[in-house]
Amino acid sequence: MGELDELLCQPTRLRIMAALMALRPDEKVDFGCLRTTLDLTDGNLGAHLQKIEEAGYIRVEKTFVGRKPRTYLAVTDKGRAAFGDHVAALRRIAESAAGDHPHE
Amino acid sequence: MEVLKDAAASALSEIDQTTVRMRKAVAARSGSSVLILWGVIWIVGFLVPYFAPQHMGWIWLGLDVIGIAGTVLAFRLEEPTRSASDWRFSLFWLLLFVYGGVWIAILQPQSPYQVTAFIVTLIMFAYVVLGLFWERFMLWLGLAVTALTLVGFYGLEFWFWAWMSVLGGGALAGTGLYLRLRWR
Repeated sequence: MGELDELLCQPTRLRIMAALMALRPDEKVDFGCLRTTLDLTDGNLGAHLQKIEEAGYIRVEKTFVGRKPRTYLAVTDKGRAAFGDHVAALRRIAESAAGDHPHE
Repeated sequence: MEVLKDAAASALSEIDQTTVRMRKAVAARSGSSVLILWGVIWIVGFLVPYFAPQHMGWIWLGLDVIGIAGTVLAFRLEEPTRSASDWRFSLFWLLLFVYGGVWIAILQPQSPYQVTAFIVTLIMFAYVVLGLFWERFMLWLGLAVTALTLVGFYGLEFWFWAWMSVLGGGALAGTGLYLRLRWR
């Protein structure tokens, strides 16, 4: 039974994980694409990514395309499991609460 | 409890929206520049018969080289994602062009009109397939351009190239612009 994950209760971090979970399991996304899609600044996204990476939920890979540095991000198995548990907990809350108030 | 319920529902809705937005953003960035590039190439290339018919082969060769180089460059510079299965999408387009080349070799079309109508409808067939699995507007656009290409092929003569320039080139460039502006 999944529990709410404190790290993912922060809305921006939840959106970051949701975006990364939208990728195929073997896929990783460019930092710039993630920043544009989520409409965040470099600093804001970087700070949240650092916290998620420290928790072991994502993998950060730095590489070069030609001479330009590129950063790619992907969800780890641990992150996938944590996100799944968090979403399951959210669903349980939404559904049980709805059941508590059937006439609303 | 009601507050918690609302917060949970809102978070789930946010997750759904972000998921859709991410997949479309990735898809748009992967292909929009390439579609715009090839759209412009078709718009220019199909007008060549009006101003330099004797150099059509060489001009198209140059345009194709620009298109292929630009495609490779766009995917290298703009590549939003990397994955172990990227090769499948590349293989789809490669096979499509191989099949196109094979059929041109088998059928040996007698006029540039036939080659053009075949290539445009082949690319529009790819649109129809992608439209079935991804963006529904590509399905309708692919079918419409295919039908209008046949109208031009059988009903127009002098204006056929202008027709294909606007229809074929416009469809490619328009799709690229639409994907870029809609999901950016």
